[in-house]
Amino acid sequence: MSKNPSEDDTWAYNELRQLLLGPELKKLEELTERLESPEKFSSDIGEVLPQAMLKSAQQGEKLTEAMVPTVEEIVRLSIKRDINKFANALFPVIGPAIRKSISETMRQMLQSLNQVLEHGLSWQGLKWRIESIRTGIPFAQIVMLNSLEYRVEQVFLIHRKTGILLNHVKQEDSINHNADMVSSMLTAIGDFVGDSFDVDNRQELDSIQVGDFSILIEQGPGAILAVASRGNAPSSLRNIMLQTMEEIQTRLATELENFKGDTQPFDSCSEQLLPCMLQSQPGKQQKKLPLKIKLIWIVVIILFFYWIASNIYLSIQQQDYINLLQKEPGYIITQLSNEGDSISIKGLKDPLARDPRKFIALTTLNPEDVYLQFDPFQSLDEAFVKQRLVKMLNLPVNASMHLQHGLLAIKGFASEHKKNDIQLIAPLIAGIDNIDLSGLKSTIDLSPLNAPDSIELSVDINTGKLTSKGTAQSSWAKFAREKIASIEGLKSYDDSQVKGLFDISVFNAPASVSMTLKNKQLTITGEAATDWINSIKTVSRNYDEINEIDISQLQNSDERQLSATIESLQNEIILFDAALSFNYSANESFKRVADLVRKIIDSANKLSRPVKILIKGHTDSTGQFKDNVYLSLERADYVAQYLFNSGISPEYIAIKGMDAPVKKETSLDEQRYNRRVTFNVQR
Amino acid sequence: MIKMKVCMLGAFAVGKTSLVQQYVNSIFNEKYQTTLGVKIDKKTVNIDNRSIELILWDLAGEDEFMEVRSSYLRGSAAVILVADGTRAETLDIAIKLKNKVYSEVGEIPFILLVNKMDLIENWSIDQLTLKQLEKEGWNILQTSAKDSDNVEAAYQTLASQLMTEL
Ligand SMILES: Nc1nc2c(ncn2[C@@H]2O[C@H](COP(=O)(O)OP(=O)(O)OP(=O)(O)O)[C@@H](O)[C@H]2O)c(=O)[nH]1
Ligand SMILES: [Mg+2]
Repeated sequence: MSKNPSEDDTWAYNELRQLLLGPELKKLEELTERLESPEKFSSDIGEVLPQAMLKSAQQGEKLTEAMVPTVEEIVRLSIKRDINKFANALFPVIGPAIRKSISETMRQMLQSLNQVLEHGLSWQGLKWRIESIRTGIPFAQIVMLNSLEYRVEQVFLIHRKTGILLNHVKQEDSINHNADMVSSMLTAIGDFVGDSFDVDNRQELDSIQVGDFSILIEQGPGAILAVASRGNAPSSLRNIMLQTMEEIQTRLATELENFKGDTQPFDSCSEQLLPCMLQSQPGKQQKKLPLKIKLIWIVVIILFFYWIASNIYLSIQQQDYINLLQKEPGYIITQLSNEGDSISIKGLKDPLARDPRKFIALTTLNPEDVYLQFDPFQSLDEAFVKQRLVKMLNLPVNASMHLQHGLLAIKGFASEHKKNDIQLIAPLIAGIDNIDLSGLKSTIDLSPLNAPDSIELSVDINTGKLTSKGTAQSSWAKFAREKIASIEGLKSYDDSQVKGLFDISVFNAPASVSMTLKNKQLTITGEAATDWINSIKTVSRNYDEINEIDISQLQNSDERQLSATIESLQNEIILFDAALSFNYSANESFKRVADLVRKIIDSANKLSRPVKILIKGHTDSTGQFKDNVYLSLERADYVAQYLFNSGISPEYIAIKGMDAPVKKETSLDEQRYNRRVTFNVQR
Repeated sequence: MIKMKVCMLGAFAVGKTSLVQQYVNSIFNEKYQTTLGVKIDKKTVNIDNRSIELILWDLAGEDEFMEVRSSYLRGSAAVILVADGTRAETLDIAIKLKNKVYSEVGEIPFILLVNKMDLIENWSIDQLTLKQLEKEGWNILQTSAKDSDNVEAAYQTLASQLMTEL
């Protein structure tokens, strides 16, 4: 112990302190030691830290907020120090994340590509392309905007673990049997697919598609968002869903985590779900028109086109008619107007022009729909000028006119009087500038006719008609008739009042005949054919100059020919072989005989003479008489048959078998000569 | 609104679907049409002025070849185990299913329905076994989907059990 009091005091004090505060002091010491020893202090904090952090997290986000900068710095440092470590840690997360992102992008791209392709070539597509050009918005975007014909029908917010429906929004009119069951069924399906096909547990049911109805599913850690839509859902819907999911997930993470069946905390989600209720803008939505209205539209459109077409047709027809009128000489159209189906045409018309109503028939226009009003005028069209000329000039038939470019040329013959008329009147007619009458003659030269003094000729120069009167030799009358045609200006000739003086040349006698007329007796000598002889007999009676006709010295040439032919036939002999009644070797003779027979018959008929050809058969003197007679007959008959066969009528033929030889036989030659057939013509 | 997912579990043809149908739509069909996958129904139960909506997952029957998909069980608030009184083996399956639920979903409320009570004379499950299970804390009801015996009561019991847990 210490020697001084102060030392004592201190000691005492210490003693007292020890007595009074001993245990506390020890604890205090221990505490200080704990606080001051970093090892002990950190192990103490280590013990309470996790609990403290849990508490803090339950109370709010203060701790998290406080830690954000530190954590960020940690991450930064860690990456700086060893990037591989961090990459390895993130690897399992990044892979699926990227995959999901890429596949989503691809899907969206494909969808828009499909739509672009589908609409790119259609009529609609053309419209959109024009819209794109007009507005400057890319075509693909326009397609997207217009083709999204869809409607989200219902949105389900489902508790992931239990499949219980947490919230549900739907279109007012959409049918829903039971959202609770649907939501459970959806999770069951998800589970079923996941289980059945052993898919990677990070991949989840993403969509269900039935026809144009589809359910898009967005899976969050605690909840599932399912969107049921009809039609072509836009790809943007996916993004909206993802966003909604994230929002709900962050806001209600705890409630989702601790869900025990009470859906009330999720009632507030309705508002968050609403953005998913997309639908194509009503204006752009292509509502299917009911069939009836469609039909009415079709009919209206057809009628409209019919109306247009018929109007076009009508106006074409009207134009055709107008063209016809404009082409037609003698018309000037001054005013046209259309009133509905009808057309009114005003203008000028030459009185000589054709009736305008007649042309309507050439078109399909209804005559009642065409109103015409024409005032008269004189057209200078040459056709009309000519018509007027004809009317006014009353041009003689013997003259002709020619009009060209206002020059009127008249050729032919006209009387001096007429010529004067023309000269006076023609210039007064509109459309005539000059007149040329140099080709118009007022006299016709009749000198080529060489008419005798006893003939008086008179000619009407306007008609070209020549009349002759008086007496002249018949030969002149004939000559004049032939000559008339070659005289210019003569159109017709009348010589009915010319008395012909007789002239034997009128009988047109053949050269073999010579005629003399003396004291009214006509003597004809020489030779002529039957026809001519007959005609002269009758014709001569018409002439006063002939009282008698003497043809006693006129030979009939036909008669002479007939006699000659008969003689030739009678000289023909057809020889037969002994005892034969036929003959095959005398063909030439047979033919000649047949020709002669035919000639004889013809001539006789011409001369109206009866004729009969007797065929006589002969034999030689050998053999018995009876047989010979018979043989003669047979030979004659053989020849007759030949003639019949060559077309000669049996009425002209007679046969006879002779009983006696023609000649007395002194030799075989004479005998042969007696076996014959001969001919005899009876007239 | 309180909504709860409840799974119907049990061997095939024990009458799961029939029980749900009887309960929800008051229909019974003598014809057996096996359930494929899952069929979902719902019914609102009122207890003491509180209402709870049961989302009933009627799962396809369990057999040796077809295991109940555990993913269907996920999130269940309770399960209804069904056994067929006329087939003893269906009780074994029910017990196995209960264990499966416990291991995969946790210790959630459950109830065992021994069905086809109308055929009680043909039952092969004896009452002693059931008593034993009850002693172990099982909640057991004997039902008939055909006669609608205890059907309403079964769901009511389960619902009130769920209510107390809220
Ligand atoms: N007698 C009688 N028959 C029943 C009863 N319940 C169900 N059944 C009959 O049993 C058969 C099977 O019934 P389900 O309800 O389809 O059985 P489940 O359990 O749904 O069968 P799975 O869907 O195949 O698993 C049917 O023919 C029902 O008519 C009951 O209480 N009494
Ligand atoms: Mg079933």
